[in-house]
Amino acid sequence: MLLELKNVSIHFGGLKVIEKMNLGIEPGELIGLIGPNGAGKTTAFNLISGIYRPSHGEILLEGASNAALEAFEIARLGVIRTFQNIRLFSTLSVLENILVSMHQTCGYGLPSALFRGKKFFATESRFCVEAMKLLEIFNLDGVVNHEAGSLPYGVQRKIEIVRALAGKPKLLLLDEPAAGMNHSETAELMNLIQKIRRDFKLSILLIEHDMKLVMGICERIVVLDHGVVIAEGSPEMIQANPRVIEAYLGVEESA
Amino acid sequence: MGGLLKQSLRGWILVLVVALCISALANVGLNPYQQQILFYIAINIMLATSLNLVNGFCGQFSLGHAGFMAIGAYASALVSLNFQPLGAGFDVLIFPFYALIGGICAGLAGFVVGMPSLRLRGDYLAIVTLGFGEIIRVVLLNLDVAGGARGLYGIPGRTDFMACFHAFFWAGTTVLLLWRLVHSSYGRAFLSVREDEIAASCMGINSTRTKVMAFVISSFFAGAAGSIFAHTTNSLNPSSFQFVKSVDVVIMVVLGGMGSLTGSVIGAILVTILPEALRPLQEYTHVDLRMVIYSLTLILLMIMRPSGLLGSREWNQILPGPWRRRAARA
Repeated sequence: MLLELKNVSIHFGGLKVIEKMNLGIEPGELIGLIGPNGAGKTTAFNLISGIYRPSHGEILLEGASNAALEAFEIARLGVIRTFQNIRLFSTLSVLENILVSMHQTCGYGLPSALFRGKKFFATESRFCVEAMKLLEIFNLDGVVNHEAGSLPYGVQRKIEIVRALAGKPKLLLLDEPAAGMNHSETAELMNLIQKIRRDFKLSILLIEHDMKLVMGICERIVVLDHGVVIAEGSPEMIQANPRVIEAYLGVEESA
Repeated sequence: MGGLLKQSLRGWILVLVVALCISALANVGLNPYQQQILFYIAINIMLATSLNLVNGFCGQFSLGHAGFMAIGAYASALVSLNFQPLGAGFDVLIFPFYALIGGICAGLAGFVVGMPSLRLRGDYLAIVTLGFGEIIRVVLLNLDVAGGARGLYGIPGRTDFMACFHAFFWAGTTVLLLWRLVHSSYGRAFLSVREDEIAASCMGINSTRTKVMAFVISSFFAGAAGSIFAHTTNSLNPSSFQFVKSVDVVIMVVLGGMGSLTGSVIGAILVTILPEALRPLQEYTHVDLRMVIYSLTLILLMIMRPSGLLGSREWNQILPGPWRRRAARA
């Protein structure tokens, strides 16, 4: 089990945002996390990535509890996320954004940076080659030196995914990667997500409102509503589940 | 391989040549008053570029640079008053060692101040460093070893060719090392913390460590600048390190452009020269308009260029097209 949430709850004052959530992710799985607005999906991401700490329950990363870990340590262990409201380093270039994620594997120390040792040049050129490879996969090699914040929304979303990939994740958390994209962009993104999952052999947990995307690529879907997991299963099972339909559309009132 | 070695040496050769040229010129064409200003330029370049590392590149706000400068100045002065292994004629050879001691003491102080206050996000650092600067000054004022309000006298110091070379070699070294630092993976970590601390930590950046690192390095160079100050003025007094001094350094950084080392160098030169250049005006008008014009200049600059003279651009980004491309390749 790559990641396991055991009875995880988080309360903000009296507000129970997530209540006894259980979730297991195996290596290589592609799981969709869906639910109406305010269901607690992004909060779940914040818990997994260590920005919030659970009020109860525990989160296990490859069998070990991550309760004592800071967000950056969890990222270094291979759980890397993107953000719903894009959080690129907007005044840095696209390339620099990608290189920041690689800093954790930086092969040279401060002295080598200050006195430009052999390792500095070797690492920097390796970083650049790796970053360019990733950018090429996403057809972003044309904007390498552009300021990240000046690019169109859809492009920024893709850069966020590349930035996350550059940190060599085992589990990639994508928070609404298709938000603000048109149909053809979403279709392209679907292919890309499947491709990176195959090529990088990673697990993906995906929050998405675009049902076509979710149903199209996820083999398992978890539905959250008001902080509680109300359903879990294959896309077909989820589509037929009356509780899910109720959460999204409400119940028909009998006259 | 030889190419890489050449690349790492090129910066040092440049620093050496610039420092030699400036000190040679200073001893041929300048009077002692102008030489003194030159020394202050070197010191202010060190202060401004190092403060920019924290305020401009790392996005924190430090207001206590004078405090770290004071620690460096007093530490170096006290060591030099008690430890002079070389005769009077050669004492300049040991100046780099004094500066190193001043820098290390200030760096340690930076660690002690930075560690608790940089764990937190927000403006805590500004308050803590502001308080720290004042505490240092008051402690020095009441410390017998440091001479109290009278300060320290008879510090070995010179303003000749070698001393000038020493000052500008340090200034050049500061700029070179900071330049290399911000153009490395560590520099990108600084910038990422400035841009978005949460996103940075989700990408595996240890933001506390990154901020403390920037702060300690910055304090080190402020301390070294203090040492050079001590060994050019020959005397130290707590009143040289008042809050206004910290504000002056902030002005240099903001004027030149936050996040631009080139800007900080230009800012340091301008803020040092401007008040002095306006001195002759006083003789004509018989009224001290110096500070009025100085502050008006600053206000006008801030209105017309709110992000400073250079913004966050460096020298190679403001060159005309073909030159810029050449610089990018180099």
